[in-house]
Order: sequence, then structure tokens, then C-alpha cells
Amino acid sequence: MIYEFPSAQTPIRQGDVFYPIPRIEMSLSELPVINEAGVVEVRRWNDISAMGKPVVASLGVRPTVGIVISQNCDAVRADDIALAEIRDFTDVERKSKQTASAKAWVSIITQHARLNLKWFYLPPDNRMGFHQKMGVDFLTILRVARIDLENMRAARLGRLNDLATEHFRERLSDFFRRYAYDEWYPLNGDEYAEYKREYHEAKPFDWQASQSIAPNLPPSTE
Amino acid sequence: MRDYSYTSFQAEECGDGDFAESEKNQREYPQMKVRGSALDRAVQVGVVFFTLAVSVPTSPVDYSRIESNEESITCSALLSSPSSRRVTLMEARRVALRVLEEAEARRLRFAEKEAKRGLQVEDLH
Repeated sequence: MIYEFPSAQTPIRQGDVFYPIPRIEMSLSELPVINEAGVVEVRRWNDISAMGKPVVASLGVRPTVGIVISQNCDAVRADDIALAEIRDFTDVERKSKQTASAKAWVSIITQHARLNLKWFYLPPDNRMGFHQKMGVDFLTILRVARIDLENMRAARLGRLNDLATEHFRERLSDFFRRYAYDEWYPLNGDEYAEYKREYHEAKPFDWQASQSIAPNLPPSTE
Repeated sequence: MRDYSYTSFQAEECGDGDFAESEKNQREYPQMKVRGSALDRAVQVGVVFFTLAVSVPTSPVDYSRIESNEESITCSALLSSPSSRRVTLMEARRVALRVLEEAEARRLRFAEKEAKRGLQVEDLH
């Protein structure tokens, strides 16, 4: 499919896929800390951090699949390499959980991919270990020390080919280039009311609160 | 050829609230697994001792004072705070696993919520 399989000696680059990458989870309100006396206490991070000292904690870690998002120059020089988590596509994009027909999948992989910038689609490939459709979740970023990742290059499942890498790079940029804005601001009163039916949290702007009827546009002269 | 399969995320113990929900949805948590290897689920969800480097530049803490009292503060402050509670290693492990589970449940809830917004698959047909 869209993958390549470089040798273990090949330097790490953007688009390389690794397994297993550790995903660490912690709760800042409930952190099991082991103090110097060997006693374990569950504490709040705020209390711990106020001391300004490193601590040792017990955290849950699970192995996951990750794709390198660091730029190529950083991937060979920087201390740390950033990866985005890869999961089952139906898990990343829940709109697809009931999808079965080829037509529906085409719609998701082509059209929805342009609308939702939070994921990147990865097709199945047995050589990659992807037995079903997979997705890169740009919302989940992982960090691994570069030297550690270099030492586990044998665990590199593969990498995106040139075409897919180019697309991936742009999608990654698009994701971080997004900016938050209230998308309903240009809607007229009726349109806003319709929008609010689905997005309850939307608060009207001054110019929308006073509108209730869609303006009658003049007929086209063409 | 590598032989992987994706299996559900599964913790050893479950409780109430979010944790129970994550248990209910556990079959939907994908996880890569080396098929036929010794890495079974119980081993995959590990608990590690992890050193946290603290860096709080905006904190009002006087770092020079802390440096000079390193030993006493690190130990005694941990034991004296009313917001802390002593636990056994096994309980610490359970807390870590529960936090892991809850994170997965939150992520799934967010994904479900997101999926209900905007254009649906059938809208583009």
C-alpha cells in the first residue's frame, strides 16, 4: 500500500511508525508518590510541585503504536522525538464505527478527511501489522528520547512512502495551523437558531440576538 | 513478517463511575499486541516508577531555600500534608491502573461526542 520498509540502519524521519511506544497516564489530582523513606502516598501534583523537586511516582503505562511527527532535522538531532498515537480508525473517528459499504468508506477517506483535520487515515497492510483501517490521532502526542527511539529502530514497523509522507506533513501542519473561532458568527438569526439546535453551547453575538428572520435577498439579475 | 493484532484494552480491576464505563467499553479500546508472545494483557498495562522532573517557573517557591534544605523538605513535607494519604504499593498500582482506564474512557467519550457533531457520513453521499 502506502508504506515502505527501511532497514534498521536508516535514520528516523517523519512518518516512521514504531511499536511499542509507551503511553503514560497520570492524574494531577491523584499521584502515587514514593518518598525517600520508601513510603507511598497519593498526593496532588500542586502540593508536590510546590516543593520544586523531582519526585518518584507510580504511573500506568501502556504500549501503543506511534508515528513520528518531528521534522526530519529534529528527528536526527533533537533530544526528544514527538510521535502521534495510531489507533484503530473506528476508534479515532467514531463516525465510521457503523461504516460497512465501500461507498461510505470512500466518503470518509476522501471527503471527511478534508473536513476533519484531527486524524490521518492509514490503510491496512499486513507487513505493517495493520490488519484493519488505522488512524493517526493528532490529539494524542507522545514523547520519546531520541536515543531510545534510535535504539529501537528494529521495532520500526515501516514508514509512509513519499506521496503519503508529503500528505501527512501537510495534514499535520493543517492540524496545528487551525485556530479557534466562533464559526456561527456570520449566521443570520434563523441560521443561528438552526445551528444552536445542534450546538447548545453557542452564544449569539449582538447582531444575531436581534435577528429572527432571514433577509430577503434581491433576485439575481443574471 | 511481523505478526500483530489489535486487542481491546483491559485492566485487571474495575470500579465505579468512569472506571465502570471504561470496563463496559473496553472491547472498543484497540491495542497492538504481539500475537502468541509472552506479552499478554496483564503485562502490557504496566506500572512503572517514573521520575518526574519538576519545573515550575511561575511558582512562588524560593528555590534557593529548597536547595539548601533538600533532604528535610523532600521527606518531611510529603508526610505532613493533610491532602495526602499513605497507600501500599498494591494500592498505588491500582490507582495508576485506574487513572489509565479513566483516561481511555474520557478519550472515548470525547471521540463519541465529536462524532455526533457536524457532517455525518450519510450527509456526503
